[in-house]
Parts: sequence; structure tokens; C-alpha cells
Amino acid sequence: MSSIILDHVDLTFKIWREKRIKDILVPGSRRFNEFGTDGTVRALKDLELSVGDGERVAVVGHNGAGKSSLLKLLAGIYPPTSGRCRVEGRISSMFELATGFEMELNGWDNIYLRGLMLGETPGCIKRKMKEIAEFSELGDFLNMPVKYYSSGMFLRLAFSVSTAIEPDILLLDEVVAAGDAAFIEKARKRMDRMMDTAKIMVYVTHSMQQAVSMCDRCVWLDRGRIMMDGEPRAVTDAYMKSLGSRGMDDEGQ
Amino acid sequence: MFKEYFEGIWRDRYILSSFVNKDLQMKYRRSKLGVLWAVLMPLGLSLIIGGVYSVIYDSDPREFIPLIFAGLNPWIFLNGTADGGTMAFIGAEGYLKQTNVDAQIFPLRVTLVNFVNLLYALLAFLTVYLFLQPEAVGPRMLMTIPGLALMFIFALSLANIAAVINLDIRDYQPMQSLLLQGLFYATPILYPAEMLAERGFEMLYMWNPFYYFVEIVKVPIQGTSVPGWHVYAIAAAIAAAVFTLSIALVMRAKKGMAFKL
Repeated sequence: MSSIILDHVDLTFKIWREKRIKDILVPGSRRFNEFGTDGTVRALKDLELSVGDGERVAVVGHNGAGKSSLLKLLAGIYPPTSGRCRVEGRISSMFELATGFEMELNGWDNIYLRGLMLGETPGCIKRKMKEIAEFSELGDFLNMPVKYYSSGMFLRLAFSVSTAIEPDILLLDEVVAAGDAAFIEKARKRMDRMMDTAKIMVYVTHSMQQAVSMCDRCVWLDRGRIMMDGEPRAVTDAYMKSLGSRGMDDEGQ
Repeated sequence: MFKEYFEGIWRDRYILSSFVNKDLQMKYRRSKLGVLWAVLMPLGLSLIIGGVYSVIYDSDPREFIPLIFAGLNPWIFLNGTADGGTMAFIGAEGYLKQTNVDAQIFPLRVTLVNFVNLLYALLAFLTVYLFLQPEAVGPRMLMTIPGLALMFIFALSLANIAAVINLDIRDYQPMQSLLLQGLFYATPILYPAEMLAERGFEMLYMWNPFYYFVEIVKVPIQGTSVPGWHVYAIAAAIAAAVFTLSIALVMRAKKGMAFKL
């Protein structure tokens, strides 16, 4: 049994304003540094959400809507400022791919380290190593330091590890898009299989197509609030319409 | 608080050990002499400083070089750990912002890496000592072990504190660096403590916590004497107090640390 329950969750960031000597000595030099008057940003506002076994939830909304913050909250990385966030089940997450790798180490070592970070024991991750390597299709690239990897290769590595550990809850940020068509298809199949055993997935995406094809529920976030929550096609349609009316139809196809 | 702190370290022990291994491997990667540098660095430094000072003080380099070497090793360890500690959390940003890894392992990682280097350096010391003053080698040297244990706790506390402060105040790193540089001269390493006492400056080391930790490693490892029990007692008391404070700071900073990185 795994579940996610958010009860009146608020998440407020404190913006750590850099104050330098220049700011003190030169009046007006801070005009690009103002971020709200009290230096805080409310990323999520009074969020109510509950997700149960077997649900695949797509989260859509434009940049800065609070999608990634929501994922990090679910992952336990950001504690809620107020309200309650209860997540039951083993979490595996995949956020931005720019960090979280040991650049000097090769692919194998990174698989091992990532597996440990996701809560595997050394024995367990070593047993799964071969399977992870096969799924990633990285072959000989695994023997090379990951600093030479492309973003697609990072994705293959990270996704393979994150799903191989058989999590109850899989949190994916808009990264799967970095993969090539073949890998995206492969990833989709694997997620389908995972969902057969009643698991939860929360997937942040800008691709309406993927939201519809990969998920069976869709949440539309806007400025930290849930605008709509329901069947993916209906929600993505409504979301696209709102973009159209704002003249921002360049976002997401 | 203590329970939580140690539980977290236990939970992530495999991550910790793989980081420490990696750091040690990386440190000397692509260098021809590799890990030998961990031995050669303090040895070379002691030869240089010891050589110069034995001329200045007009003393026997055979006695002076080991003396400097013995004092320099613990100092390099404490200084390196405190300095590395400032980047412990910031350098682990990628992990702390993406996974639930326990933050407290990162200052410990820095401490362990520096401690392994210290052990190498002590090995170098013992080798040199065996040649220069074989008559001093004896069972008294075993008292180095409790000294090392206390010093480890103290160093870990320094790394913890530095890591937390540097989260909020990034100016702390150069500040601490300067402070430690000052403390280096205030700690009897390049000169005997008596020299300060003779000139009425004994306060300088009596109130200097580093003095006690350097003393409980530096003196017993030379094999000729063991510091008085009060030196151990003071070191233990300082270690306990600073360690408690540092754990409190780390556990408080842990909540919401991802916001600050």
C-alpha cells in the first residue's frame, strides 16, 4: 500500500538575498535583486491532494507554477511550511540531471552510488547492476567518466537506476524528454509494467502528449494552486486553452 | 537529537564509505607518486621547517625535525578538516537537493578523508623516527591512540560547525582560514610551550583548545613522555562540549537545508 496525502500544504521559500558591500555603498544597485518585499515566495498554496495505489499523475503548468517544488515536497527534500504531507511507500525520484552525479567517476560507479542514495544496500544494487546496464543500453560508455556524457545518456543512466530499485512511488521531473524516441518508448513500457503492480507515479511534464499517453490523471498547477485535477485529456485541453487565450501557445505541444 | 544523528549516519554508512573511498582515490589520481604524497607532504614540510629552525635556534636537526613533524601532523589534520568542512554541505548540493541522503554524513566524510591522510603521515613519522631516534620508540607511543580518538571527535565537530555556518555566511570560509592561521602561531608547534610561558604568554596556549589536542598526539608519539592526565581531561571535556554543540547545529540546519543550497 502506498499513498500520498497533502493536507492544506503551504510551501514558502525564503529567497536568500545576497547582500554585498556594493549594495550597501551604492544606492539603487539592488534593483535587480528585489524579490517580493519580505524576500519570500509562496511556491505552493494551500494544496489538497491525495493519490492512491496505481495512479499515474501528470503535473502540468508553466514554468514557476510550483511543479518541481511539489515533487521535492513529496520526496521529503522540502519540508512543508505549514499543513501536513504524508507519503507512504518507498520513493524513488529523478529530478534535474545537471547535478547529482560524480562527474569523475564512470557509469558503473554512478549507478552504484545512485542506487545507494535511493536506499539500496550494496549487495542489492550490485545484483541489479547488470540489469540496469542492459536497460540503459549504454554499453561501453559505462566505463567512461560521466563528465563526457550527453544529457540523453545521463537520462538513460538515471532512469534505469530509479526504476530498477522497484519503488512504490516514482517521482519524475520533466527530464524524460531528453531521451531519444526509442528510449522514451522503452521508458513508457517499463512504467506501464510498474503500474501493473499498483504503484504511484507523479510525472511533471511539458508534453501534453506524454501526459495523456503515460498518465491516467492530470493535475494542472498555476502559481502554486491546483487549477484543475482530473482526466488527462480534459485537463490538458483546458490548460492548452488557457495558454492560447494568453497568447503563450509556444509552450508544450 | 543524538540518536537521530547517529541513526542517520548508520543508515547512510554505505554512501559514506563509498564517498570516502572515492575522495581518497581522486585526491592522488593521475599523479605518478599517488598516495605517497600523503606521506611526502608532511615529511617534506618538516624537513624544510625543521631545517630552517634548527639553524635559527641553533639546535640539532635530528631532534628538531621529528619534533616539528610530530606537531605538524595533527595541525594539518585539524586545519584541513575545518577548512574542508566549510564546503561539506555546499559541495554536496546535488545530493542534498535531490535525494534524502542524511546531511550529517558530509562533514564526517571530510573528517574521515583527512584522518586517513593523517594516519599515512603518522606512518611516515614513525618510519623517520625509527631511523633518527630508535631509542625513543616504545610502548608509551600507544598513548597516541586515545589522543587520536579525542582529536577525531574535535575535528569532526569543527567540520560540522564550519559546514553549518558556511550555509548562511559564505564569508566564513576565508574568515576561518585566517583565524586558523593565527591559531597556528599561537599553538606551540614550531616552538616549545615553555617559550611562551617564559615570556608570560602562557595564556595564549592555556586558553587555546587546539593546544590540548595537538599535545595529546604530538607528545606520546615521540615516545619519551606522556602528557599529564589533566591535558587529556581538558581535551575530553572540550571535545564533548564542542561535539554536542556541533550536533545540535547540524540537526537544526538539516531541516530545510535544501532551501539554502
